[in-house]
Amino acid sequence: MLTLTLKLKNHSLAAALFADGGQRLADGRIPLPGRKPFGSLDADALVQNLRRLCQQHASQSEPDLVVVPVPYGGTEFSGPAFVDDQTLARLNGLASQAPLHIPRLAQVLTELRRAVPGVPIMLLFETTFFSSLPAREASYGLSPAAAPGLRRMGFHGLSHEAAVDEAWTMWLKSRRCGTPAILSLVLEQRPEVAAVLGREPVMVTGGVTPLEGLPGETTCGELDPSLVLSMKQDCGWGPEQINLVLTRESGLRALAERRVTISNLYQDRTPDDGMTLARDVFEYLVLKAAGMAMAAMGGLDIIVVSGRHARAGTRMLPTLLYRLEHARRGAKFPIMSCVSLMPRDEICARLAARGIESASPPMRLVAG
Amino acid sequence: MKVLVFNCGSSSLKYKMLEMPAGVQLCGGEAQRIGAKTAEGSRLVHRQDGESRTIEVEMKDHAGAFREVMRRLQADPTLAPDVVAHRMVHGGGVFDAAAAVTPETLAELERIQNLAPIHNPPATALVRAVSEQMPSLPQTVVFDTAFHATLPPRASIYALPRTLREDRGYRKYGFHGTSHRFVAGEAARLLGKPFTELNAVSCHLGSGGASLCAIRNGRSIDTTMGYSPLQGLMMSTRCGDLDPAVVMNLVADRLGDSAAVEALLNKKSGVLGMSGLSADIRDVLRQADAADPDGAPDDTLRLTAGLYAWRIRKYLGAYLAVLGNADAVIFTDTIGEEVPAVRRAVAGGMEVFGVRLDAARNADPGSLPADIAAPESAVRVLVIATNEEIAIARETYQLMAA
Repeated sequence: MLTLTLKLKNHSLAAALFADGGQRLADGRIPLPGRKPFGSLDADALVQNLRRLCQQHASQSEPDLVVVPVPYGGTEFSGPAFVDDQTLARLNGLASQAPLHIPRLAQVLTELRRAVPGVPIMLLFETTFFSSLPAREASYGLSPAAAPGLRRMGFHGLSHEAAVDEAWTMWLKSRRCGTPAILSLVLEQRPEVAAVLGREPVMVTGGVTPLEGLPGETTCGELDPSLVLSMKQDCGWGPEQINLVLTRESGLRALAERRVTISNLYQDRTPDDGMTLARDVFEYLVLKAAGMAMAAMGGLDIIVVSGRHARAGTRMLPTLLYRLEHARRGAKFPIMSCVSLMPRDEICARLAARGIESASPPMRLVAG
Repeated sequence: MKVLVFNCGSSSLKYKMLEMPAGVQLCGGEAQRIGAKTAEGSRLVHRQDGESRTIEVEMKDHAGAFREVMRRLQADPTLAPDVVAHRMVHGGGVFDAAAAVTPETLAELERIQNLAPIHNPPATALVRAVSEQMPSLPQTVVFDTAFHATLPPRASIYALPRTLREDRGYRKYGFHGTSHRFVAGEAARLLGKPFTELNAVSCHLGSGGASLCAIRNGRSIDTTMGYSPLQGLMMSTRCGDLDPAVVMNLVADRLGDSAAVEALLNKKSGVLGMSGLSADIRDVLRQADAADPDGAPDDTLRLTAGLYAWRIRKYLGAYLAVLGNADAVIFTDTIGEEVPAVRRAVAGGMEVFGVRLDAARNADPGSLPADIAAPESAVRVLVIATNEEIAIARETYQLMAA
């Protein structure tokens, strides 16, 4: 099966082609020709670009399956979905909840269907992994009337799910019994910790939005709720200004006082005060989240670090493990750990293939 | 030394006279409905020698309440205070310890009073009233935030631009510090450890506010409340931790009315908001398992109780991970001292951290302080009654003696 993963970027689709077994054949960018903001796409040019990619690297002109990761599925989507009229209608229903992502994506998907009408397009949602989060974790201390339907969504679900797969591989090799307590640390632009018992998530640091939890490269992370009100009252800021500060000018950028990535925190051999502060705060909050995860699961067997900045995890992991082992009392086995460098597009391809294989009843690859 | 401790509310004034250093209570009471504009007027309830007396007397403000309290005390020559000690909720970044009241201190208190707009202003007004009415009577101020002055930057800093962190003072202050310090001191004595070597997590679970504090070598190194008492645990009427984006949406939904959102998050959320029944978790717990006529438990109440304990449990895990080698977990204040079900939900199943509860001792700790951990538990679990007035009086005594 030839699988093409596509991720929507500003003016292009990041594409990767995989053969059976997850072998990467090619990757690159497919321009979205003729695309203007809210304008129509040139479907003919799009299909030509897709076919060129397939023909150059495989013996067929179209993929057997297109896989598209979607940042947000709300409570509407609790699993993967093939694109058809109904799926698109459900997706468009989420537009107001994710206005920066869904409308553009829905438009591109519509054109993609026209471009390759015979090819099934599977959507994988970052949020569905957490659809089974227990209510006491997913809920907030607000009255239902004040915020109806509010729940913690969690993000990076695809990366967490792949991390859990890696953890289970380690667990089975270790021949230990029972259900592993897994901590998944995804080091992306907006990092996230999830606690997973077996395959069931029980805790996640991401919230209703990725703004909550660990500080990101430019996002504030955990914050006293009253401070949002103080910014309005003390600083006289309006909602746009507050949103700008909390999403673009906070996080590691604010602590280091310049744009930094998580990887940057561990590259500098002589960090200045700002970088040191950023790293200290970040590592401390990860440690606390790990402690929360241990309490949530009643134990900890495996830590998996993944994401774009997973290599930075090799630098922070030893200290984290040391601190957690020190806090564990009387444990029979040490905490296992690994760093997964699997790229996200490969994660999508593998999850899509597994989803098709393990679905009951079996999924049929039918274009919508 | 006779220390008269005042604890100010917006329309009340509680007081206790303590003989220090022994900590013997000589009398106490409360001025109620100060500045009342309703049918029921102000009154003073005075307790001494096992008896309680209620005096209906007009008290327009806290200055008037102080006058009435002193009138009662001056009627008994043995009740002349040597010093007045005030509980002050917020010391800002200015006061990191108890302070003697001087004109400079009072000026600073008035400058920072809006950091805690409900609590600080009446307490500050009382300090001024005492200064004016009895200028020769020494006064001290003991701050709820002071114990947390030792928070390291990694625990106290929010990931916000420097201008907000430093110029605006947007940082974690923490509260309940007097209580956390008091019970930690009691825990050290119980464990036979010097206070400066104690590592513990203190769980102050009140019927109103609640917070946890991580204590290393007798110093606060992290706490769940933040810039304000709103952050952290879900409390009786406060929501606790919340996605900042949700706060922005709530303000937008209410057409920019941030005062309405502040009231919602502080007064109409938490146990009250979720349950729709009561702000007291004990009421929710009692009803949560009660079956309806069809035998189904109330899901809303069970979720409320579950979320309440879950938040505390997660933070306990966070702080045990931070400390690494905790000596004790301490439960205190109304819920912490009186509700075994909460202690069980929070500390049960935490063997990974070396915490093992003794079920029978937890169910009935007996007289406090009590150790409810199993004998083989590496971490002791203590139930200790807090006494903020004694703690305030002790700090005052030490300050005056220095």
